Amino acid sequence: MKGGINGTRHLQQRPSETFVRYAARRAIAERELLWNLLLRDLRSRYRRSTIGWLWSMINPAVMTAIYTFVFTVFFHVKPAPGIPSGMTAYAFYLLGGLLPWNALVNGVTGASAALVGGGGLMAKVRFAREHLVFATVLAMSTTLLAELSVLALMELIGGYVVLQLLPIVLLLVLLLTMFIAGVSLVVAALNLRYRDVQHLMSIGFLVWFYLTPVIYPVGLIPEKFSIGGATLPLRTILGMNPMSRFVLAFRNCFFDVTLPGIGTMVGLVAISFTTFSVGYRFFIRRAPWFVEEL
Amino acid sequence: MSAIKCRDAGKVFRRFSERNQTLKQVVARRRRAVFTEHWAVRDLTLEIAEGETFGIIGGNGAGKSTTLKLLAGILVPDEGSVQVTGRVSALLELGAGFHPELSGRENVFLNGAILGMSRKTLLTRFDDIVGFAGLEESIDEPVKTYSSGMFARLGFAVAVNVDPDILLLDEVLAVGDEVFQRRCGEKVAELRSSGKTVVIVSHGLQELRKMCRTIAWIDHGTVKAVGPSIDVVNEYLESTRDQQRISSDGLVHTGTGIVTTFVRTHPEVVVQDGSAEFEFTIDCAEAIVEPRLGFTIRSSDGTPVVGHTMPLPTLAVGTHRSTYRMGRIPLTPGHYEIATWFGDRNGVELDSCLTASGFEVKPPSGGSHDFGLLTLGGTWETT
Repeated sequence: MKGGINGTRHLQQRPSETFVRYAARRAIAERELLWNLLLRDLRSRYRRSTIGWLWSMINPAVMTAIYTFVFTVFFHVKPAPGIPSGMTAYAFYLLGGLLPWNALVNGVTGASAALVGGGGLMAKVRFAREHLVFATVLAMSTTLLAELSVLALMELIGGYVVLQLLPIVLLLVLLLTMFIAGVSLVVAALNLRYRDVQHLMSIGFLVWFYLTPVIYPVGLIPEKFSIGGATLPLRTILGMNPMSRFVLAFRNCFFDVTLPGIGTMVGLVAISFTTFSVGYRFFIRRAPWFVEEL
Repeated sequence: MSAIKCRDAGKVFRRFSERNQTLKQVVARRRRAVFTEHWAVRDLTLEIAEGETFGIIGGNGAGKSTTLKLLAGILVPDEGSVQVTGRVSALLELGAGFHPELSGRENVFLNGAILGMSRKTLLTRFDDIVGFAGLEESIDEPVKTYSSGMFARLGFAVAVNVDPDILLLDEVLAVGDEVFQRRCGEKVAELRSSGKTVVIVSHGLQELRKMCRTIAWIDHGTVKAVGPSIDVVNEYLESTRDQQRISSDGLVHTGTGIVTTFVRTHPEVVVQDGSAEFEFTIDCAEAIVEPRLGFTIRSSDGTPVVGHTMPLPTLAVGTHRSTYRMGRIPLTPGHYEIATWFGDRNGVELDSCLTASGFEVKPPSGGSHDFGLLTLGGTWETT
């Protein structure tokens, strides 16, 4: 029997089917919708500006200029030279972490806004609600790829060739996309229901930003940290931050110009699949009632 | 075989008097939200056969739209079951998901995808869609430059091309000009003759009676009557005729409750043969196609003095104002009552109020020389 609305009503999760596979099956069933939402996002974002896509490059460029100035002139922070690249430029060091970080922040905030903005659509049309979130996150990943290409180009001008790492960079972007999607699904669903989530979000990202070695080298974190007589293995604790691992892996590619270790990659696969599954489960359990919460 | 089967379906909405609207409250109050439950639809049992054109009628707030959203799968039933067999296209709003900055062309593909069409189908039907909407010349302009009529036409053109097994229509035929409405009607007839199931929610009772063989009348969230369209429409009209309600101005109105008309006279005390105006306020809970507005002026003993009706343009949802200006009130001094009447283009009464307003006519400064009800306003010349 043919399924219901848009052929997706029969898309119930099969027993023993993982959330990742289930999400993929639903995305494939509505691939046209997802593709068009993604196009809408990309097309409309810079439609009314004269320099268009260049806008997405300006924010990282300005942030790089500021941080480079503050950290190299005021604080004299010097990242340890990349191994084996020997790269020392703080700008490259920073961008390797800042670009994935921006993708996370823009993805999560954008997805939350997209779900609220898609309210009218959800009230009128039946479709898999998560695709509003996915379209935004995928748009951010597309932007990230464009920005990374520019970074690679700048490094090429500086004499460093990173093109051979393209397959691993694509894999990293894919895993990061899954991770961002997982976080976005939870935050976007909560944001629809509770009005203070957007405020908590900006505070949360601020704290998370400084817990992630984006602007400072990991070497600056003390190994041990004593507080009230207790000694904490600070570097190990901060190392558990999933975003740190992504940042370090991207930095392997764009600063050290080498492959991330196999342990790192296995860890990232585990992080992204787990985050995605938890987020997806959280989201689709609540999705049937989104219309009523608006 | 039935395309749609609802068994004892119910949908409850919560009206929160105290709701945990922030995460902070959830954590700090540790209390459950306080709400009252309101069943928008309950014990709804419907069976719609494949290939049938089925109408749904009912008063305002009776649960028609909730029913349609349950059929569309936008809302999930809280009890009972809703079974829909086949591909559904729900036209609850035309052009849902249109992005104002994108061109008509881009929006056709976006909207088509939202409604579940494949790119291939869209490519083959693109010219048809644009032709049907009559937008060949402006298809590459951003949608924000379109008039509301163009917007609706493009939305409808995409939606009817979705090629559904089941088409759900909510009052969408009530937009656009007459030509477009006729084409919509033809398109629906075409779908019907090709064996598609069509479910229409509408207030256009006459059109519905023509288009549908079976009609369900929904009242207070449940099916009050279902059967051959003529019988159900008549039964429904019979009930609305003596359906009285007190509107927000405290007056007794009769009618469906979709529309409420109020009237005020300026000034409230009119000088005989002086000027005055009646200001009508029309609250439409739903769009009304080419309605008629009328009023009757009665003298204090109830004698109708004069009546007047006026066709209005199609009214959208919301509040509208109509003013009737009179240069000379040809009435003798006394008290007069104004009754209002509002109907659809087929003359079905949607709202009426016998005692909508009143006004006083006072004699002119030199005193009145008239008796009876009317003043003729002539002049004397004696030679």
